[in-house]
Amino acid sequence: MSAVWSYLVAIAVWPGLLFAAPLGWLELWFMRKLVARLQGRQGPPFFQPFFDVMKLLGKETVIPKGVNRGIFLALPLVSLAAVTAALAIVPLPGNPVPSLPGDIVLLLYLMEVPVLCEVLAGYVSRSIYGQVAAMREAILSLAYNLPFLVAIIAMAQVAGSFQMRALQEVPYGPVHLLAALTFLLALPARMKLNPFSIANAEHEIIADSHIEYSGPPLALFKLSHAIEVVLLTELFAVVFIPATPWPPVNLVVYLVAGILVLGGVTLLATATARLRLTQAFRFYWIWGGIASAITMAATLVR
Amino acid sequence: MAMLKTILGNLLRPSRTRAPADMPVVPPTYRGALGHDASRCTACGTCAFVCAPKAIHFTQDPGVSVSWHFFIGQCSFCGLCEQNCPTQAIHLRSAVPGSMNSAGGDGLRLESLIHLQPCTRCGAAHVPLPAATMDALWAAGAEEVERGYCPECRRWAASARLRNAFLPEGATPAAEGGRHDR
Amino acid sequence: MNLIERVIAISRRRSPWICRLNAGSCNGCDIEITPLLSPRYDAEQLGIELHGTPKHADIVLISGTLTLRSRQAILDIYDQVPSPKAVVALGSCPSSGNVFAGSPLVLSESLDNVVPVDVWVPGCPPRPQAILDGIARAAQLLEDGSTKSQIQGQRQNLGGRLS
Repeated sequence: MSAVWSYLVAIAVWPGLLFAAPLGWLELWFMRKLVARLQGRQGPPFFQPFFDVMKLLGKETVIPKGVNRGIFLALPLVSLAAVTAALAIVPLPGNPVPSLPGDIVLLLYLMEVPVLCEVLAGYVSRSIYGQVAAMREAILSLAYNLPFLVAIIAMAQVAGSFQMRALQEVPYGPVHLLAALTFLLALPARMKLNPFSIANAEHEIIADSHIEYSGPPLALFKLSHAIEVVLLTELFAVVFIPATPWPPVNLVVYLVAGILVLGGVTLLATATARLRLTQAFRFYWIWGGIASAITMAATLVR
Repeated sequence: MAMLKTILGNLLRPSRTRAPADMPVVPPTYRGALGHDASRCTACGTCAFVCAPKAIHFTQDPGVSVSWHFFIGQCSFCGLCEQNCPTQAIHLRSAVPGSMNSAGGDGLRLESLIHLQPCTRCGAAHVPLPAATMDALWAAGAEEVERGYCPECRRWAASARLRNAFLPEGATPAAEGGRHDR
Repeated sequence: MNLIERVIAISRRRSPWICRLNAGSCNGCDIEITPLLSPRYDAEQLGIELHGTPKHADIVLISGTLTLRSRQAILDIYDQVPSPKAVVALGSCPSSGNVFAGSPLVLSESLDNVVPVDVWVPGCPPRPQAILDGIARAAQLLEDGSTKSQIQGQRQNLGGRLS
């Protein structure tokens, strides 16, 4: 199999679009169901995220007046493409893509693209609420990226290489634990869940930064969010869960770990109320900063 | 922590959600759908008079019937009509009126037809009294003939009875045939 | 109807997103919408989500007396909802004006004269289960393609092809 084919398969089939989309819908359904059950409600039916996306695909697209059509329509596509490409790099068992030196840098860059798209989507839409959401998203990304990046970079420091496969082969140690905690600290804000759901405050600023999106572009944003959830949970599992020599067992362990992480994050989201932007920013720069410093120190002490 | 305890408690208990087919029952005193009993209605018009949003009105088909019209889309379910109805022909039932697809037309409008009856004495079309009222007025059936009278003839019959009571024993009663003006 | 169209039609019934529009209501009907999100009624079991923006909505819930000022706002917001869309009128006020009819600042006419209404939910205010039933009915209409705006759109398409 040539390299081009392996990339195509990785992006389109496994672990890309064809498998990640249903997995993302499953995880989104799990989160929504868990929130509902924690609130004593029945919750959505199993196929709900799928129905949401299919319905949006069948709807009309309303483009606001005075908006640049090209950018407006390209943003969801770019967001989806970046997330899928990022997922294709993650060395899940059976991923056909060869590991490149420095693919962590590429991964971290691709993971920033959807955030960038959200910010741009807010500003492009010319809606005042969308602009507020975009501003919040931009500022928040400056905050949560500190622990998030440090968690990955610390692991790269331990491995001595910016390569995903090298990261997996690092012998398990205390740095894993510290870095995992730091990663988990950043996870709720990355997933835009409750204490840090500041950018998508649904009743405060009406909706998130895709307030002016409708129909298929909105469906692509929803799909991109679903795959981003898969990406974040599987990245956590791949980097911080020790691998066994058997790939199928690894896969099951990774999926279960992803669901467990989501369950914990959802529990936190249900139990807390939304913070203000300044509070979240301060939280991430003080506590996230302390956690990052400890993690980096642990890599040096070892 | 108290919040965590609450939500974990929710997770362990079954959900409190009711399925759409199994919705909570409405309290019996709930003022829901309006019902009109044409056999009790005397078409006095009190309900139309007390209705604040003017949801009730009457139309006439002279000599044949009187119609009671009710537009649900204008009702505020205050219950004044039920309170003020002298013959208890209007009842606010606790059933919740269902949603409907048709516009301000058929589904939202109720019509109840009250048939007029000819007076057994003078032949004038009139709204008959409710059966319960008639039973209370003429329980023994002594003056059964008065049951079919129009209000004017009832008045005439009552005054004739009064006049006859003053007459001495053996005198001839008042002549039958004094017609009321129309 | 091919498979994808069928799936999309079913999705329209299974995921009706609603947007609430207060056209001058006393807030009674709006208060009765909030229990739909509570554990007892849980609109999410039918896939219903409450969205703030009309751009994300499939079904617009319009409550309240139509006032002279809200007429234009209703038209604007209705135009922003991407088709296919349905309108549910809550309570007595949209159909007639209720007790406010005849006031100088109130349009004493049916909402049907402003936007095509698909489902009327009577009540003052309607009970939550009646609202839930009304939304489910509108979602069914969306699946069947028989909301007024869908029928109108089909007619326009046909007219365009014929002429």
